[in-house]
Amino acid sequence: MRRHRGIAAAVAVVAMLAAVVVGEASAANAARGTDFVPGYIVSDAEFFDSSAMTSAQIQEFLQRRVPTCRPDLSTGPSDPIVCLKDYRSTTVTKAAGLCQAIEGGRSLSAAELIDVVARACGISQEVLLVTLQKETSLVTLNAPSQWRYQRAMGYACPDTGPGGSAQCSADYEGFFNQVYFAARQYRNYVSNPQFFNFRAGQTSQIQLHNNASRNCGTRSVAIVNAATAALYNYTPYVPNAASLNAGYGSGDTCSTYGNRNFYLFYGDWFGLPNRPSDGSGVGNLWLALGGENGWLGAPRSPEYSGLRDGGTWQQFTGGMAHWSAASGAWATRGSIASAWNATGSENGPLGFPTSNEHTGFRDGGTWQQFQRGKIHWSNATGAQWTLDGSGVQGLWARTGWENGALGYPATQEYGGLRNGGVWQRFQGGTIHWSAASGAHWTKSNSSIQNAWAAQGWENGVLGYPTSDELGGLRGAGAWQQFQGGMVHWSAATGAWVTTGSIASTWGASGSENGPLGYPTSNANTGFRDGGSWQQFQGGKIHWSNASGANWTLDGSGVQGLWARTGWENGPLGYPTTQEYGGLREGGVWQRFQGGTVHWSATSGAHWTKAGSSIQNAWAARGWENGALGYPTTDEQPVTGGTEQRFQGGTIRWTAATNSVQVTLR
Amino acid sequence: MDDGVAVDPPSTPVPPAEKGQADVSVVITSASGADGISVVALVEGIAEDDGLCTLTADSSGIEVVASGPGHGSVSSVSCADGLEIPLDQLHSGDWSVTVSYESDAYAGVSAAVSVEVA
Repeated sequence: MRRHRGIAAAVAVVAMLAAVVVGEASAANAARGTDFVPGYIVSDAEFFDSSAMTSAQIQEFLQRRVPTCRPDLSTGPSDPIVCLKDYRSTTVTKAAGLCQAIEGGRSLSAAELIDVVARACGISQEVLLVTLQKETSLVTLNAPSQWRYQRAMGYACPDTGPGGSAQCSADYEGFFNQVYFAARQYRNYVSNPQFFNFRAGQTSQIQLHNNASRNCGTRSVAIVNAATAALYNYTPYVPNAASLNAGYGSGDTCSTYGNRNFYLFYGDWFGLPNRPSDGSGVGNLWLALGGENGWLGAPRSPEYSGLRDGGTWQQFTGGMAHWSAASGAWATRGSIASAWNATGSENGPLGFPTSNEHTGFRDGGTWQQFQRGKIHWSNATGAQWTLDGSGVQGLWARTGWENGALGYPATQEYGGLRNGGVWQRFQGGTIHWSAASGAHWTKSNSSIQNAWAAQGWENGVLGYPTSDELGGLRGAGAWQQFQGGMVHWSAATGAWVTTGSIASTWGASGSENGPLGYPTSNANTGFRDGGSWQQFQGGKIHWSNASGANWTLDGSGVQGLWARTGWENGPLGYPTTQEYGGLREGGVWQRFQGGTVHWSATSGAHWTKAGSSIQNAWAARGWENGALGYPTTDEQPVTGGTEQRFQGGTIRWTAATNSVQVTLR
Repeated sequence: MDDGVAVDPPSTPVPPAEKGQADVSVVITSASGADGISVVALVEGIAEDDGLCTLTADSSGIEVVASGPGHGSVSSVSCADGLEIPLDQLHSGDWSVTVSYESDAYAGVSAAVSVEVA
């Protein structure tokens, strides 16, 4: 005999103390109508288990249900009281058909007779006992009238006479016939489902009540299995909420009780009729979580096999349980279960669960471990998954999971980015990973992230981030490194991109701490010879392929002169050095493609042409340190040549002789 | 004998008529137009195996019929066996279907149910 929860302990007690009457299951373990699942009332394993009890066990069970029979309550000699535990009947020969053959003419106790029929028809002894009870209360009555035996299973006795007495067809009348034909009919439903109303795997409109004048309507029931279909074919009504909420009591005018009472009596006597198989991984998990009283609640389906890796699963009112040899048995529920289903369940990237849901995390969040990843849930973000071993999850872990700056994931991880990259958004920012750059994150809607986005994210000039956002710069500024450049931000200047030679030159100038300060624009492109330039707080950096990147200081005399001559489009072209100081009287100089600008406070800014005879003559006399001092004009055309004045004199160049004449003052 | 357990009254008996056939209730419990028309109905309050069930489908003045034997259950008769109309006898659209039951002693017809044939 299988172990039965509920009665296993009771049997042991009876064996020790035969006189002790063992009561009904305690209230805490009583079956509840509210756990009734219309589509899955009883499992096939329970229903068709014809070795569920021996005749001795049935007898013992009947004696416990009615310890004391009351023949004294008989209404007279025509209706003697015989309780089921004492009842005997003679078998009638039945040929083999839906059931195996039964030999006639044997006088058997009710318990023996139930066992014989159960084994011949392949129906559980427990099912037959509960059917007897649901139809005519014979199992528990201590003073049953004879008519109850005549129509014991309610089989084909549609006519009722005075006082509820039955007028059964003679073919079906009597206790043996009733038990036999009921069991045979249960078998018939399974062997010939096409002949009957209710079938496993189909959805039917089942009436709440058989009295059409009450307009009780129907309930749509998706019948899960053959055993539940058999119950509805036997009793074609489904209990309504009032019936299920009433315990064993009465509901309302639309309540029926047959299938409810089957569930309740079965549950109280033998354990829930739809409980998971004893000893299965899923069944053990269900028991460990508290059975129908735990959060998984009552079963809604059998345990299905055929999953990947030989796995199984079962649906419950409160969630699902999955088992495989490699992962063990674990339960999923709610948003995490839905998110897991959306990934393809055990066939998806996460595989089977390997823990139950862990609760009590930040903002009431939860998470659950799967074979290859985790699902994290919070009210604000819903359930999202991360992949174990992924660069994205690794970064999230290093930042402190949901307690760190990233908070909970707000999307799953998505792939398909350039160079095989992936991304995942979190509450606090977005992580991008690629093989070349690793995993780094940008803060949600930060100026730096927006600046990156404006460049086209990883597809733009910046490529993937190669650092997280770093703070601590001058004026509480921040910056972030990308494959193709940097983004710098400060409150005063906003966030701007620097790349390539301009970025290098800015770095060499001391970045935001140098004379240029923070960038205040991105690079402006499309200038002469493919040149570009970028604005900073203190000046500009100009780049062309021929000249490289060099800066000029805003407000400086040098830049002012260059501007007046037409910037890079004028005779000076692009700067080829930065501005250098340290000259006599605080002077500065800067070389350009077309010449060199010198500035001092007393002379102002003037330029000498690169490699010109005048510049060479000035240089030969020691530049600004010689007798000529600083230039006080640019080179000017004069008759027959050019002339340039200096603090200490004049240099004239004569075209005809290509010679210079220096005149000191 | 009140043990506090609410039970269903014995199934509502339908006595045979003195003459002719007594009325019985016929209720459609499922109807599908997914692959032809397939209907299942329940005849309540009788248990016999000698009745005939007939499915009638109507649409736009066209009537198609299929019949099969009723199968007795515990306290009802199932009209399920053979109540199918193959797709090649149907056009797409809404069909009104009923199931009638007739035996020597009893007769009844269900309310109409609408079935959409794709």
